[in-house]
Amino acid sequence: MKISKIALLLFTALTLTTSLPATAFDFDKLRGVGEKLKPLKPTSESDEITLGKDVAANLLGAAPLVNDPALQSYVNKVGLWIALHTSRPNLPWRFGVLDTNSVNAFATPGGYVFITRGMLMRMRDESELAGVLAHEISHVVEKHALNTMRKGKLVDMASDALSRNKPGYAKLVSAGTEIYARGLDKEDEFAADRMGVVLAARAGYDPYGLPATLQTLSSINPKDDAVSLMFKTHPDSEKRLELVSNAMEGHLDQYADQPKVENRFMSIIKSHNSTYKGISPLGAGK
Amino acid sequence: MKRLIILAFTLGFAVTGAAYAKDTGTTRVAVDLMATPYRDAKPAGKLPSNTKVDILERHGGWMRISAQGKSGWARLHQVRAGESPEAKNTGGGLTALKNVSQTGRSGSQGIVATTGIRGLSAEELKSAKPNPKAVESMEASRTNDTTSRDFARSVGLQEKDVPFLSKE
Repeated sequence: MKISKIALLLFTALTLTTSLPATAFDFDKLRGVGEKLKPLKPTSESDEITLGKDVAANLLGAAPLVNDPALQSYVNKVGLWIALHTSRPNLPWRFGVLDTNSVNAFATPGGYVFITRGMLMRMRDESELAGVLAHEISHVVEKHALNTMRKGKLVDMASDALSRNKPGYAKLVSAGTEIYARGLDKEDEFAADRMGVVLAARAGYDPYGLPATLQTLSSINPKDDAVSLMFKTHPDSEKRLELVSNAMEGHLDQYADQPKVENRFMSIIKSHNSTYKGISPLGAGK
Repeated sequence: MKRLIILAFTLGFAVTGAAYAKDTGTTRVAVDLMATPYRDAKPAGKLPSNTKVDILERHGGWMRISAQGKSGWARLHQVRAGESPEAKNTGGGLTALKNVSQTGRSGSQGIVATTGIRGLSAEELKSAKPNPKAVESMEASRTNDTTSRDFARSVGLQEKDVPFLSKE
């Protein structure tokens, strides 16, 4: 009896509360909720670039650049050509080949894009390189890494400490680097695949370079150490291949006869290999 | 000397030829082969899952394969390139052989699990010390729009107006 009275009281109170005009609410509480729901201030482009540069410095602390200016310059030309076909052609795009046998590629906010030598050595032609760079460029254009850094635990830090001179910034950079060990959201990866193939087609390449690389990746034994990080941080390559092929069908088939640019790619790789002396010591990046 | 050169040429040709002929793979699933690389093409026979196939050519999202006296087009994701996964450390076994003949690089032989993968494991990323000098050194390899455009045109790349794909 008593319980049902209390219940009734509660019910009335609730009904009353919800039907009261907003002005009757506790203003402080309302403000608290409002603050939590308020969308984060968008990161300025210059903050995005600075953050990306500092995260890139961390990645380069884990693996040095290949000491081959001709190879680095080649990858920069292919990369910039793709980037010019995005909505953010004016970012200070920079591309680098990392001196490691690991098979992987990364992009940090603001336009720092990396591909490992291990991945480059498994490619057949320039359209495959273009496809992988286009996937990474898509992550940058869509701010996938930046938004991941702003999500979850990083949110508060990110909104308060996006500038180098603010406290907590160093933590943000190291937490930002960690997302490359954890990986992005699966959907971000699929989206970057879908966008990447279109960018490659826009730039005049056979857009099936990325699917061809995904097929190569999906054929590598997952127990191979060279792919452990890549496989840990990305959805199954076979699944990616299937999804992106399905999305392309009927839309991009007509571009499959565009150049793959095999000769230029092979001649760059050949001349690189003729001077390559093995993995250079860390920190020796010229 | 002349003979040696001829021998080298012949050998080189033989290796390249063999590499192309032996580009193999395995079907991941049962495959309905197509006569041409299109989904609504005429059927060209069926191959069961886990069949060893020869890879004859690639076009777009398709590869022409042959096995058991049949040949036709399969979609990329239906075939695992290279030999069976148990037998190999890495993919692209034949690509590797082809690479040796074409570029002198050793392909998968040089890139196996035991050859000192350094850097870029999750742990190493987390504990990496920043190397700002290396970032600055990237400036030297930067290019500009004009150079990049000329570079693309020199191999016949032509810009196209292509809309983005929807998520289905």
